[in-house]
Amino acid sequence: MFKLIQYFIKETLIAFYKTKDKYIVQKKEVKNNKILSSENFEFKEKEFIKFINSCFIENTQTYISTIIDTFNQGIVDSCSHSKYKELGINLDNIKILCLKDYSIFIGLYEINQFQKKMKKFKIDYIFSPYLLIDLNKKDTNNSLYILLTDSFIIILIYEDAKKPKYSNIYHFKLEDNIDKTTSDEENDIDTFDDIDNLVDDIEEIDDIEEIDDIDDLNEDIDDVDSLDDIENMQTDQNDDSNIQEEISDVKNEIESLDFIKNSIKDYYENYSDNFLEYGYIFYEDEMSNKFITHIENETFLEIKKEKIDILSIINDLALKEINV
Amino acid sequence: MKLKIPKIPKIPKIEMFGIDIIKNMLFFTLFVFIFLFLLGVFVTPSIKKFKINKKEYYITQHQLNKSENLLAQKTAQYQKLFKENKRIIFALKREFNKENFTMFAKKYMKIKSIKDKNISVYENNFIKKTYIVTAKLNTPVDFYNFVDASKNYKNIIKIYFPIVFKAKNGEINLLYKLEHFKVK
Amino acid sequence: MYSFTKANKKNIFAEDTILWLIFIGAISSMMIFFSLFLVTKSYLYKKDIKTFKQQITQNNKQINDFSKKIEFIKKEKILYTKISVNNELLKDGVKNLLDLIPDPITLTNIKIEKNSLYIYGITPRQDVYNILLLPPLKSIFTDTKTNFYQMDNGWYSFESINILKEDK
Repeated sequence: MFKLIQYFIKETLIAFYKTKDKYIVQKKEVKNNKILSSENFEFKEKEFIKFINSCFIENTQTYISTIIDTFNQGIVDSCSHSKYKELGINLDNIKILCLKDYSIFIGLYEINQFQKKMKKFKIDYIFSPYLLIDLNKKDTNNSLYILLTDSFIIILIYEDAKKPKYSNIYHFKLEDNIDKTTSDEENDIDTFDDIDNLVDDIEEIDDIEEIDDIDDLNEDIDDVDSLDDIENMQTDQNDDSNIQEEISDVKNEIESLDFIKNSIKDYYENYSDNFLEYGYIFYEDEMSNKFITHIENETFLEIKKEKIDILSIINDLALKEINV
Repeated sequence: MKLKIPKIPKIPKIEMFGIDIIKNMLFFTLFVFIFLFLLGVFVTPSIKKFKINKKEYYITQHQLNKSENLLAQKTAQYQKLFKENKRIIFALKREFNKENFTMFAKKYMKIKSIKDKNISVYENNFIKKTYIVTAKLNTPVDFYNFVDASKNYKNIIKIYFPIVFKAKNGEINLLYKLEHFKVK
Repeated sequence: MYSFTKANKKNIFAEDTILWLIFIGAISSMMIFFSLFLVTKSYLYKKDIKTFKQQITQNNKQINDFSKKIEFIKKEKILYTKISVNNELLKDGVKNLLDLIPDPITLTNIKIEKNSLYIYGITPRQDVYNILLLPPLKSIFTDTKTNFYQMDNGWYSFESINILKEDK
């Protein structure tokens, strides 16, 4: 009977995530599982709250979803509690979502804090970013999946094409003038000894000169050129903001490579003996082929790139939740 | 030829102070209509009916009270009258018994005969039985006393003409008409 | 099943719609309840009126009954009074009549009728009768006739016929 009613009800799905001080929002209107409209927005916080309220006034069946990018979450390839005990994860502090034969867990403290912080946005659904990869996974075994955004990078490694075995997440260090609180929270996670997917903090790169170290990793001369370009850009005072952006982009790339390397190492050491055969990278805005080549060189895998619409996937997840 | 459904223009949404004015005005109008409708169709007629019935109720109740009072009055009157006239009422119900009458008159005269003369209806409600009584007495004073005593006799009797006193051998032969009255 | 949190409750109707509906519903039900109440009361009144009317007719019947009975008792009383008076008058009349007879006269027969009187008696002398008895008789009755018969011992036996004719 409920399904019958839902046939007539129009639902408004709002998916958002926060980058720096902006909120990237997608509003989808759905009726009977058909998409009526989809619009993307960029708001400052006050505008976003106004927008949310107006959506509620227009349609009471409005669902707001987002992803939580805390460190304290991961995937375990089993739903049984014994596996958690085996991995040394304390069951008292976490919430487990069982998806058929593997599960996602998240720290209770993190999810509660997040809900408190986001209370003003009246959030209905909070998803793990790992689901973004899991819903777009391919059929290949022994596959490495990377999802790269402006604020974080996550890795999922599937030994069996259907079941993820290893998960890891890393936040990029933010610039000084932006949201210190998230980084504080990241530091707090250090106190949780039981979580084994923590990545060691990468030291801040203060000097551009230290890029020389990275040079050793790369064999491609193109990288030297790009680094030279960066040195040139730094001296040009007019392109300050662009330079800032490009610097952070490069920082991110460097940190990503490190993270990927360490994750794979962790995987081989602790999780599986099988060699990875395939690699995929999901991105949202743009992905430079140079970066992909770097990763390929690092991982000895052919990396296929795929552009995904994160907000759209989040809204699709929300729709699935509503229809259950 | 297919008819084109005209596009229904979308109602603009005016919002002031966080309240959707048009929606609330429409609801208000709906409320007013429903209120007036219910008032006219349900409330007003039932108030009318109620008032009419109430009035009639009180009038009828008043009538009933009056009637009850009258009944009580009549009952009291009847009971009083009955009590006062009990003797007469019972007397008028009794049949005339010749032996009994003879016994009664013994004190005053010696009844020789009581002859039935006539039976008739008296004043629609009573039966009058006429007898001719012959008796022997010593003095007319007995007769007077007898008449006086007949007031208290258990039948209602009227002593009437013809009255004949015949002197014989020191006694008086008396003849008189006796009328006995009884309810029908 | 994918989300860490459950969705907030969503009303089908906006809050103000629900408020209006509740408000309209409450007022409507109050009005309908009120009119039902009045209708029930009217019905009860009607029922009582019916009962009252039945009672009134019953009472009226009883009142009539009693009235008749009262009238009848009154009639009975009147009859009794009439008879009493009649008896009394009769007694007084007879008494007066017999007292009229003077000592010398002795009656042998006296027949008293409604409108006539027959006296048979013995009188020592005619004039005793004529002086003592005749005048009262004459005054009472319209026709008086006396017949004398001489007896052996010198007294007279008389026959007095008195008739009262009623003038209409």
